[in-house]
Amino acid sequence: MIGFVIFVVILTAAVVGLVVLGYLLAPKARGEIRERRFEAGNPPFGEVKRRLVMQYVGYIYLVTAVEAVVGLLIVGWLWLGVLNIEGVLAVAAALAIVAAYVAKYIKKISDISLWS
Amino acid sequence: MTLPSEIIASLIFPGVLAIFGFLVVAIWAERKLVARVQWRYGPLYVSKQIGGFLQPISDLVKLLFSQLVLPRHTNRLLFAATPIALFIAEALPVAFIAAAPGLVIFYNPYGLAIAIVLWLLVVVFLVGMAWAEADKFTYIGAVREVLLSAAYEIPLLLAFLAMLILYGTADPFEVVERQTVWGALLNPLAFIAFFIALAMSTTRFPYEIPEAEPEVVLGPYTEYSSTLFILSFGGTYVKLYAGVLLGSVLFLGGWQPFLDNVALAAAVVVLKMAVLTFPLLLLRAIYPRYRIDQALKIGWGKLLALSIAAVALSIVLKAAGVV
Repeated sequence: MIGFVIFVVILTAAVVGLVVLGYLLAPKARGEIRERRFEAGNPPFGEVKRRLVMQYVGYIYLVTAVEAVVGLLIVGWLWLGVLNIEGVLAVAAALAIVAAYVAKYIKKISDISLWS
Repeated sequence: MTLPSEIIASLIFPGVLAIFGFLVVAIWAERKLVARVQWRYGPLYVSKQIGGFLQPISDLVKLLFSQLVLPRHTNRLLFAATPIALFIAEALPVAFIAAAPGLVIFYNPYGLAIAIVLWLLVVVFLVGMAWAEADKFTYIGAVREVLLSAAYEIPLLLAFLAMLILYGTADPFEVVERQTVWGALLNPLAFIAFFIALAMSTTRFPYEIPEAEPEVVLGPYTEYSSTLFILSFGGTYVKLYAGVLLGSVLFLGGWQPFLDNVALAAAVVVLKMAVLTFPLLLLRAIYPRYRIDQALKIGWGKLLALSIAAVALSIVLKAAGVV
């Protein structure tokens, strides 16, 4: 544990120190143009807020569902620790469900014209 | 008096010194390798005798003296704090991965599982940073980063599960001790899936989509300058460091065959990390950039199929008593 604390403290000190050093050494001239939002050379216009890009939202649904299954498999395997028939069947069944689920919906999800 | 191994690990390797060393070496090697492919010299004039090796240090000094601009439209405290948090989050998985016998920052019998979960959490910090910047380009970059993570997370976890089935443990030391044959040779499907997911996770070409310069300036890093730019953009190399360290332990036998000599074992791990790193750096010179929809299709198509096949192969190998 002491090694972890030292690691986090030294790393934090190093990166914060770097920022502080840069702040102390570099010029500090201020100006409206310098400090305004980057707009590729143009004056800022409009709001930053945009509509969420929805055409790929199906993938987010998919990852939310599938990641939970895979996470459970990892935890389950760590819990069991050894290969047994129940474990193999559980993994095979879960992966078969994942594969069938993805195969069923991937075509619809990848057709972004349906989602935009 | 000798220092306890966990303090050596936290300060030297795989800890703080090695992380910053990797930053310098990887950036120099990437520029040099890509230049060679493109018939250029790459970094040269700073320390010409050693092939411009000190160029990244020179860039660091230059950035130290460049103005740290905190844009007025942002919450300045969050704007300055989020790259620091991101850099530390990208380094945290390293704490749970062993780099030689007895050389781990924080030992836990489930260390490699913790490392991989921490690795997947980095994207949350990156989105937070892009949100704090409050810029159109950072917003687009953040959305791309989230979508890219949706493409690689499942194959990465399945590749890890495949190796977990083979080794029967996530202990950072036992995983290496059980590799009488390297994991990459036992289950090449898992290795390939892991390698591609690693390239996606660290936004190497052809997956350099969130910060695609011709499209979104620098994506999530657009508003940063000076040292905050070093921490935000340089953090991707720290993530790469954590990824190749995990890859060399999971797939390349870690410190095998040196199970007793810590110095030799650490040197072997460094060598294996370099073997994994150089192809990832070279990708920049070889591939064009995919669009995000192409990356998503790859992640949920061929890469997912490959990683499911990797898990099946591990079950077959285990059932057949090969491992």
